[in-house]
Amino acid sequence: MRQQLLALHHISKTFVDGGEKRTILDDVCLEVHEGELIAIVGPSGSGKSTLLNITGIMLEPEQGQVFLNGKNMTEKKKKEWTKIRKNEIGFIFQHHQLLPYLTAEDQLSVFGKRAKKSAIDMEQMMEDLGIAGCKKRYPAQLSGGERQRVAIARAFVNDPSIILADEPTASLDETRGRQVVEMIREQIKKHKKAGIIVTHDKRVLDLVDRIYYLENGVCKEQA
Amino acid sequence: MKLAWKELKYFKKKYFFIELMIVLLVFMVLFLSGLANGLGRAVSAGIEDMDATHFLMSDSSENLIPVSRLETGIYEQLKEQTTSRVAPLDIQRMYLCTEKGGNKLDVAYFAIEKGSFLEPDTYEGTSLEDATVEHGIILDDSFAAEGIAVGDTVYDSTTEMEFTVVGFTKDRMYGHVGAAYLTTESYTDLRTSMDSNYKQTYQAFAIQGEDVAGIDLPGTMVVDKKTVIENIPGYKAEQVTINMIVWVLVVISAAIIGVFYYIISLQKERQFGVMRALGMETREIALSVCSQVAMVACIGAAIANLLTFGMAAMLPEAMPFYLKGSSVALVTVVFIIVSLLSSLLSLQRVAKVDPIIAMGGVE
Repeated sequence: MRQQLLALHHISKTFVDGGEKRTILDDVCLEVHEGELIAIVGPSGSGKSTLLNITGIMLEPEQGQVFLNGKNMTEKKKKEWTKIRKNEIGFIFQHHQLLPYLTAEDQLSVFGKRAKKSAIDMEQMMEDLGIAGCKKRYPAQLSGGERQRVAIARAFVNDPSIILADEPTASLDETRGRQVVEMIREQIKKHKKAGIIVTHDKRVLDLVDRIYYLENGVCKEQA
Repeated sequence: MKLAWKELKYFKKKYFFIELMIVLLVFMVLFLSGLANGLGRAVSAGIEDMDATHFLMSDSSENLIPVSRLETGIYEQLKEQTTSRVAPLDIQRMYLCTEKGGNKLDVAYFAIEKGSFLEPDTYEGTSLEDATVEHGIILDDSFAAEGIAVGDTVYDSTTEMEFTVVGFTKDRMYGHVGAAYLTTESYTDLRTSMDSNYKQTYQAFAIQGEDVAGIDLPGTMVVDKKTVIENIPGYKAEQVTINMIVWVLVVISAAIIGVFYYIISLQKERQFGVMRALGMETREIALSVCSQVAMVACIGAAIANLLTFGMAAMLPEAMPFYLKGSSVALVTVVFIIVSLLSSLLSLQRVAKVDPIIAMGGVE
């Protein structure tokens, strides 16, 4: 049995909007195992980003629990959130969000844990991602696809349990977008992480293992 | 630290202009502080550079040496009451001319005893003690700029009494006027030729040393050097005004850095959000911002210091400009501290950054 790295148990979240209570997430359950890449799709306003923020330990659910690597994160204090994100979660953003003043190599080292060397061989990963030659270059000197690939490497630098990708193909054309998702998939398999892609890009859905549909706060797995 | 420096290096142009502003501001502040000291020295250097610590003067003199009047007999009594060295002193504002009936030059006569510790060092010519002429006079170097040289004859404009210039001394001014040192005997002659009833008195006695507690002479008081300087007419008013300008400028320039950084921090809010999302603690980000402000402030202050000292070396003699190491250091340190304080404004933004802003949306 493959290890379960992420589990959401009955997550609910409501917002008060103009005096009206709106349910964003309604009893959402999902789980991701190691080496598995899932996609969460849904129309805008369906609660995708709220779900992502809760999974990314940046927002507190009203009800339900988030289990990361078997540990209940909902019990942790807010003060520890940053540390949890650093150790357990790798983020890939919609726009690469690299710091403009750092070379590709520094992008990784700045966010890497200071004390111990990453368990993942970053040299090899940059090789795998085809950006080994870009180490000394700044984001402005990289192509859109290369930037997103550096961002992928950055997500893995602290050897996290899960990889969260927020619309990773949004700023790329079809070929490059597909390439990026393929790379995320490869690395997740290789390093036995749990991967979640939030996307509305239907063209890459054949690359994921399972698909969850989110609509009006209700999450259903596609059969 | 590393992050802050790398950012400065990458955005060279942007930070160059900020740095330029800071350099100019600090330079302006240091320059003004040099002028403040210079003007202060133009008023007080004659007293300040004296090798004396206290002055004995009459108790009705309001701490002003030229107003004071002491009988000659006090000299001997004073010597008995203190182990410190004492020397008589008279200061008189008059006019000098280089030829009879010629242009009048402002002068402050310092009448001193030949060979006393009040004799100024001369960079050219001899001391009054070694002079062989009858009425020797040592002039401040501002008179050298008027074309007067050692060996020339100058005249007191009122009495047309002749003096022979025996030497020049540096930076001895009193109330914006160049000082001229003459012997008490010459001074008595000068006063007698103005008023045949003149009876010799002294204005004050300079005391070299700290043994002043035992001095108790009727109608006199002992005043320390600092008080004497502050009571020179115009000194306090000038210093207060210019120093206020200096400190207001220090605070304003540091505040400008604060505002710059506040705007820069606003622009970088999303970056901060990303850093937070990726697990960087607020403390680390705040430290990075602070160290960057410190770098910018220190580099700016260092360049401004170089500029100021470089320029001071090129200024003309007549310009009342005087850089005092201690006040330059004080201005620089206060500037850096206030810059750091003003960066707290940005830190308050950093502390509020929510990592959620890193998610979704295009920039």
